Amino acid sequence: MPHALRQVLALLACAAVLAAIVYQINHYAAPWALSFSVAGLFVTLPALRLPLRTGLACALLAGLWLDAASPLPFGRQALLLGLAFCFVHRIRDRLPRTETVVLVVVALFVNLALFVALAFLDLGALPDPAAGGLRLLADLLVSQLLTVLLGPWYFALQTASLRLVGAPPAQIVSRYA
Amino acid sequence: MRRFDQARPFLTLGLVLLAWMIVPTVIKRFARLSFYEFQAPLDVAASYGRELQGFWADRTRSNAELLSAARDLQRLNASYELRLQEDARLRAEITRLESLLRLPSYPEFRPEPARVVRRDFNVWWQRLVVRKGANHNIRVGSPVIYVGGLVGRVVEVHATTSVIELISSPGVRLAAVFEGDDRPVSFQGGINAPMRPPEAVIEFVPLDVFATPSAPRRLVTSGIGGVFPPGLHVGEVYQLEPSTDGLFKSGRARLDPRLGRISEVTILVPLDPAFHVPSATP
Repeated sequence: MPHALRQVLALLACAAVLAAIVYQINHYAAPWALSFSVAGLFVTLPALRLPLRTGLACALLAGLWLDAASPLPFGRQALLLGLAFCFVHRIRDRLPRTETVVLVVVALFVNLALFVALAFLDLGALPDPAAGGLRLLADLLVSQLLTVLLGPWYFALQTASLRLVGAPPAQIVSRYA
Repeated sequence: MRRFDQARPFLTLGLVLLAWMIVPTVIKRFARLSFYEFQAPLDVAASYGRELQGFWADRTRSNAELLSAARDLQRLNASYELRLQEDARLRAEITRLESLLRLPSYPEFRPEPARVVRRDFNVWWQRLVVRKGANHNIRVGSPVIYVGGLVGRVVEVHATTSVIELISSPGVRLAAVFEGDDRPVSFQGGINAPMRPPEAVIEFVPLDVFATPSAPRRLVTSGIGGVFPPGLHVGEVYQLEPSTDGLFKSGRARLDPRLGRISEVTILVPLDPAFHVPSATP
């Protein structure tokens, strides 16, 4: 099996595991009217560590995976994750991208950007935008907290999965070392 | 050259987007269903896991507790027996009046209990995934109820699971009536503030109807439209104010907080195959 395909499949499996965990967390958080979203985690490692085509394929497939379980038009989250991927990929050479802390910070920024993008697209559809805004703020706060908690584990899982399938990301010589 | 390198991710994404736009809808639909059906076993397995957890937790209960629960159930069963007899009498009376007054009868439903696999509540949508689908002849548009009244309606049916859109979802609108009043009002869910029970917006309320937090009015389904049977509890209206046009009132309704903890529902599957239930699938 080609190296790139192994990378895509391994990262898609990781995305499926993460999505399943977040779905379960949301199931238990429903009585408190809170929901978690960690979309930034799906994009970060592919954007910072993988080649363009492989990474973009990972981001788009993860987006389609999320789209399939949501009532949004199929492909919308994939497009948003794809855009986020492109922005992060464009600036990645300026970041010390082997550091887990950097990966977590990038995931937090991507999460924030996706929240804002979705709010701009759909806030008018809510019957009470003020209550909706409050809920979005609360969701954003708990989502960022969950991203910080799950991020290091998830990036370790992705790295270990890539090693397991014999397709680790290329070594980067850090200019910050 | 450097500028092209910087724009390369966006150009690649643009090409993918272009290819996506010319892909036939049938392929997109197939892809969506495939992705969904790949995920469904994960959710179903998690729900079976929760039930197993509950089973072993119940095994730790003492015999005295079980005997007490059995006694409570006996009492409950006796009261249900009485209710069933009363129900049969009322049904016979309705049938007699329908034939006497030549009224069209309400559509018949088959109740199908289903366990909740996953609650997916956020500010944009409020949905439940249940553990019954096409394998139990669930139909899109079927109304869904629970012990607290109306839950919502089925919006997607898959091989072994179905997706229900809750009445607390911003996309749900229905015609409701105040209990004891037959004038329809508009109900729209979608106010889901954090750490609070869901609320809904009520519109087109006649001016002579009053509701306050200390004297809320019960709202039930009207039966108009033919999707939801009449008389199902929807919520409690606790605030009504004249709308800007002065012709009607609008206000807020509190929904049952149990909607957020719901673990079992009953899907009312229409018995008549010609019964039209409008599809709400996006």
